[in-house]
Amino acid sequence: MPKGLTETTIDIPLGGSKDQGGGLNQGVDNLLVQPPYLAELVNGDLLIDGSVKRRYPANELPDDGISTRAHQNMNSVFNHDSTALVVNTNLGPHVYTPGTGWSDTGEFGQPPCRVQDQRAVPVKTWYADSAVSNGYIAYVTCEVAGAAMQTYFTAYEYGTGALACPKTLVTGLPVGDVGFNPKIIAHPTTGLFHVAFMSHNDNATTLRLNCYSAANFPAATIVNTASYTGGTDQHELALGATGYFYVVSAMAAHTLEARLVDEATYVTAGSQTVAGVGGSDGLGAWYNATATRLYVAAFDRTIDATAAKTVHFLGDLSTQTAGSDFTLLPSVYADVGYAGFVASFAYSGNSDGQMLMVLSTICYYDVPGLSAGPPAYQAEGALGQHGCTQAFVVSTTLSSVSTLKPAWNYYLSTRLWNPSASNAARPLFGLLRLNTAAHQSSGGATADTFFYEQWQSLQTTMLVCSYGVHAVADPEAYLRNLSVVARCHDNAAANPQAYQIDVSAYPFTSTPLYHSRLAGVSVVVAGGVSFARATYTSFSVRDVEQPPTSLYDHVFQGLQGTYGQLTQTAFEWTCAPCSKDSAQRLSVVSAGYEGYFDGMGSFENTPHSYPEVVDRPFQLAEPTDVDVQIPFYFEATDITGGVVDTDYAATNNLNVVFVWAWVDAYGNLHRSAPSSRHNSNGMRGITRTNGVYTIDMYVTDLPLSAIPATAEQRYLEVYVSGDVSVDPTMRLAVTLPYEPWSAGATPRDTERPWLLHVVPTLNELDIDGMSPYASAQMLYTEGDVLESLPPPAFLDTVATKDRLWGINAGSLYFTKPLEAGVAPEFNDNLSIPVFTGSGPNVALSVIDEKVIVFKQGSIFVVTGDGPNATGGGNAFPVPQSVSTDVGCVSTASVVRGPFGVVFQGLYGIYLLDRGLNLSWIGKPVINDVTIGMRLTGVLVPQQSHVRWILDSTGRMVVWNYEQNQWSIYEGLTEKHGVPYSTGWVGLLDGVELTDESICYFTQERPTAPDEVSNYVESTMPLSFTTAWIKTAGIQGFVRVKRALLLGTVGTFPSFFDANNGLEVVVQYNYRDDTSSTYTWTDVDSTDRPQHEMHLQYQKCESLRFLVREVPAAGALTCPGASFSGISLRVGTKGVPFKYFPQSQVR
Amino acid sequence: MATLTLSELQTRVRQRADLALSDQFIPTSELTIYINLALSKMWDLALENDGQSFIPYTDVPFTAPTTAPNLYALPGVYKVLSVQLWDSVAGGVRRPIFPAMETQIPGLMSQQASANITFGAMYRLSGGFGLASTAGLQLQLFPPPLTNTVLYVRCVPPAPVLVNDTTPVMFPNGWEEFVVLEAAIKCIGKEDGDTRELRRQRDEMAESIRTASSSLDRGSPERVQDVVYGLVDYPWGNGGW
Repeated sequence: MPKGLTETTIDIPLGGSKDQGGGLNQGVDNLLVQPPYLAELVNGDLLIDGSVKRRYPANELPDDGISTRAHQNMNSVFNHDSTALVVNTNLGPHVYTPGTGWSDTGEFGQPPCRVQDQRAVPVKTWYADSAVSNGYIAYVTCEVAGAAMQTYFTAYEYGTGALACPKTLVTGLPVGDVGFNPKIIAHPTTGLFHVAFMSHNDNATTLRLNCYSAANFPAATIVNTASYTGGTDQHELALGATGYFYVVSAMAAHTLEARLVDEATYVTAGSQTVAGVGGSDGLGAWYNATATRLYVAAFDRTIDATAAKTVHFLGDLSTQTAGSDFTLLPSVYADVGYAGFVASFAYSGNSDGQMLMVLSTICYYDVPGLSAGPPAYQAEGALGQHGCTQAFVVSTTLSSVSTLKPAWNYYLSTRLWNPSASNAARPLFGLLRLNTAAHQSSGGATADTFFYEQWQSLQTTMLVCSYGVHAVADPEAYLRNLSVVARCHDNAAANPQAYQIDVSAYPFTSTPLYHSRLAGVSVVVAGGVSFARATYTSFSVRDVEQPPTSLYDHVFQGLQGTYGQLTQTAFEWTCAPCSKDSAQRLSVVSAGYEGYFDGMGSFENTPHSYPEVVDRPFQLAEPTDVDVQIPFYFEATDITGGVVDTDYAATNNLNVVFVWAWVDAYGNLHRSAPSSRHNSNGMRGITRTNGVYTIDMYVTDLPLSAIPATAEQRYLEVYVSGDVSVDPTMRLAVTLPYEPWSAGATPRDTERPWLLHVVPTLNELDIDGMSPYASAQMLYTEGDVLESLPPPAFLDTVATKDRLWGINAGSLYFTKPLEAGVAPEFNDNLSIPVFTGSGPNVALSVIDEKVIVFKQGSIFVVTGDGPNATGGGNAFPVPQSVSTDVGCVSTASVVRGPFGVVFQGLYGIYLLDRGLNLSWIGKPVINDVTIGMRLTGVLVPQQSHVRWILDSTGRMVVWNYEQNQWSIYEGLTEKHGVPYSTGWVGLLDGVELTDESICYFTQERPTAPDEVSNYVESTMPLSFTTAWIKTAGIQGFVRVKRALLLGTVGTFPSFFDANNGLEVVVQYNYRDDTSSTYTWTDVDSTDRPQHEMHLQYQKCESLRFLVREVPAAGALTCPGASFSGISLRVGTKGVPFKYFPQSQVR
Repeated sequence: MATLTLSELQTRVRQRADLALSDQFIPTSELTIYINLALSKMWDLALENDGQSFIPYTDVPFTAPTTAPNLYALPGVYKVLSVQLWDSVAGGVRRPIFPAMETQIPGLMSQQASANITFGAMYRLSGGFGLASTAGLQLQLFPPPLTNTVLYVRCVPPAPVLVNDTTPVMFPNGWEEFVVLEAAIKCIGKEDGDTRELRRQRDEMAESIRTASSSLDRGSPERVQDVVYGLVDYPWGNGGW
């Protein structure tokens, strides 16, 4: 009678802590079964009890109070001070506070824009353009070379930024001629870059077309060329159907020509000449692939001085059809018309082919004495209208469907999409701010005086910007070429102060009640000096009929002390947490500029400019006599009629310093750098009457980005010394309330509203040494304490060692030691350059007392205590290298926790543990975290998780650092999330529930076993795959007969309801295609209390199990099963154990 | 008596062998094969004893040889119970004939005679196993028959092969357990399992079937067959008065 094989049961736990002897690699005798780590785990977690369970379900969070636009643009969230959730949108943060819900204050603060990269293409004029194709981004730029401009072609590898084709002169015009006004265009995959440019000598004679192929890089070989003569005033390129593009020219004879060009041969495949449209003042063209038509908008003063003309063509240019005229908004000033014009198009988001058409115009009037020259593009005065951008939604026949409110004083519309939105129906149009105040311009007859707006400094900022640059959003959601080729002015020695750059990206809505701003302009300037600073504003769009009444709706503050050419800037709009640390209870935000969030609003770390004083009104009538006086002087006037104190005249010794200060919601004092110390000797502006000093002066305003509108305590502090006190130190004399916005606010100069009119009175001065000022508060910089200066834009920030630390591409910055009641303060002297290591700095983190600096290809650590508030004491030592071959590629990927620091390197996720040992922990998810991704990581301590978001679908890799188990979460379209209260709060992108409501925010929570409803109705089925179980490792193994899934499957009363099933696929012999599938449904469950699998291929070399929940009706409605292990019933010959080493067996 | 369908048999085998409804190791098609094999085995058990049988017989008359001069094909026959020779289709005179020894065949065939009810014709069976092209069981009559002579064969068909889940099978007195046990043993044996207990039960069942099948008619026990008694020309005895 045959006995059969001996049957043995082998239990394989799926997890469990080491102490419990659990874990796939812990509790199994590997003489029986080789460790079968979970090869893949999806939507599940390995719990501390060793079981695998479906990820926590999530409930909706109430979202009342957030505007629709915020919903459309939300992209990340952070936890502020454990008291509030701050949701970043493209428009600014929104705050959710328990008990009160979502703030309805709407949009304020900075959006979560992070500087992504920056490249310096030396540019000296306003002309620049770029295109992306076949993995390269190519630029065409102009540069002043001697007496004329030259056009250059430059290309970079798109992903790495490596130089692919050095800057090369664009040639093709006759000898002695140079090209300008270049445009470039390329189909996405061809690698053929088509550059069109005009003759400089004739300015209208020739339009030249050159083709450069990426196949020839690094050589800028011209592989094809064409010339179109007949006098070209303006031109535009537009991509057509595959293999074709369009060249649209405004001819000198005021006709418009459109050509369809074969991109391989440059043969004209079709053309149309249009009369009555012109375009000599500017045009825009775009091929609408949905409508298969080419659309053109053009402006030509000689044809119609008040309206833009439109025309559209069939794609093969066989027909032309006139579109509507679009009347440009009239100037509010007499004798002012329009000259410059740019039109751009984008899909409106409607599937019927409707378009967003944006028309930008620039005003001009002839300046006496210059009328013989080219049109002088002029502003109309300090408060005048300069340019206007209008936007229309138009039909495919170019009739207006709706009109968007215009933005005054803007120019350069752009064609781009909102890359942060999951719905492509959200185009943006970007704007460049043109002017703020006065101007100087000329007609370009001499070198360096071309048609750019050139501002003499009437305030500490000024703007010179250009047109001819179109911003685009590339397929990876980076805004490329967004603005900006700009120039300050041509005399750095005389005007070293600053320039102002504004870049704005505007979400498209049909009723834009508000316009917000794009922050995070990063700039590379000539000479290698770089700075990055948010340009920031928040304003309401004025009614069309109303000219600006105050610049404060629109002023964008720039940066002091920097001069140079802005080149090219790219912005990262991808999801990123904007706060990774906090100090003084303030959430520190690194997103373009360094800022804080105090629960009420977000604001710049330290005002990026400090109070300066301008003494006299702006002389509009004397544009060539602009009086810039820094430092200022006072003008002594006896305005009171009182008795001028002779002591004042005798001593002439009063020192005054101003400081902006305000107190945040947590009582932290924020203060600017002090103004220059001004002495009254010989100055005007101070009257002393009967022992009372009256100061009458104009002080530059506090930058809007530096103070939240909600702050209640705002001051302009006045410090004095000299005659008012025998104490030579600067002491607080008076604190002037500062109210910049509301009616009845701090008085301003009527002609220069960017200047505060400050008239403090210093009473009861005692020049004999009895002054109360002798005991007043000292200026905080007394005693050589470093002044508070704005840091550059940081890529990342951490707080440790009683300081706040920030990093940019080249250096590490740190604050003075934190002081109770004072916000963190940086200073230029407190920085550590990181010279060695490959690549730029990328991220910053902390392990215990050590500051970790991540570069692209290396890691450094900084130790020590550092200097005191004066900059003295012990300096931080030179950063020590931790790794010379592994670095970090994504700032947002860096997460610190009890394990040390984890981060994304070139090949996935790495761990730098607390002993500074580096290990590659991300190998199990190497197929999910691919090269080129930029991950955002979040620590979720409630579940011992670090989660990295992979893409906009909400897919993420999850590392359980207690169990060292990886899993994939998917199915819920979370754009970002943050630990909050009891668990993860996920930021959704509008999940429509079955009740037709929309869910935007969810909070995960543990579930009760019998809970069957109230889940966000998304399908998040659990699945997991064991590693291959090597049955050949079992002694005497003959067969593995059966497998039993262990756990609480089947014990949930409603696990097998109509929506839930279970499927197990068993694969054999290392082959995916040799498998058996076992399924259980609610029908089976009635008589199958256990999930046993009678294995099909029992004499296998190996096997593994793919277990997955099956949502039968598209959703899972119960908490899910819990699996603790797999039990194998194995048939063996003899005992399955090896009692003795083989060599001792007799 | 119990009547079970194939589906019911499958269920009982699954219970015995601990198989799932949709078992991957022994799918239903394989299980059906095992059940049919077990049925065949039990068929043999029931036929093991002579006499009155639980297996129903069938009669097959031949008015002429299938293949001249003396070959009769019996394709649907498992075993033959008896062979008769009739003088006509009506069977006015019927004579049992008996198998010939191989050594008798030359003599029978050399008589220049024809098989009829008055001549001592004999037959011999062969076939049923081999290539399908060689056909099934066949009977040869020695000597060849006369015209109008009818060969009448009483036989037992082979065991039924169950295909449809709903086809009922009748089992006397719990005999279906033999099929269930036999099939379950094959299932467990496939994975080298321990089948000892099932085999013991099956063997008990087999013994019961043997015993029961040998005495279908408890009132009239089987007697020794008189192979001479049946001669039709001398029905009262071959030469004895």
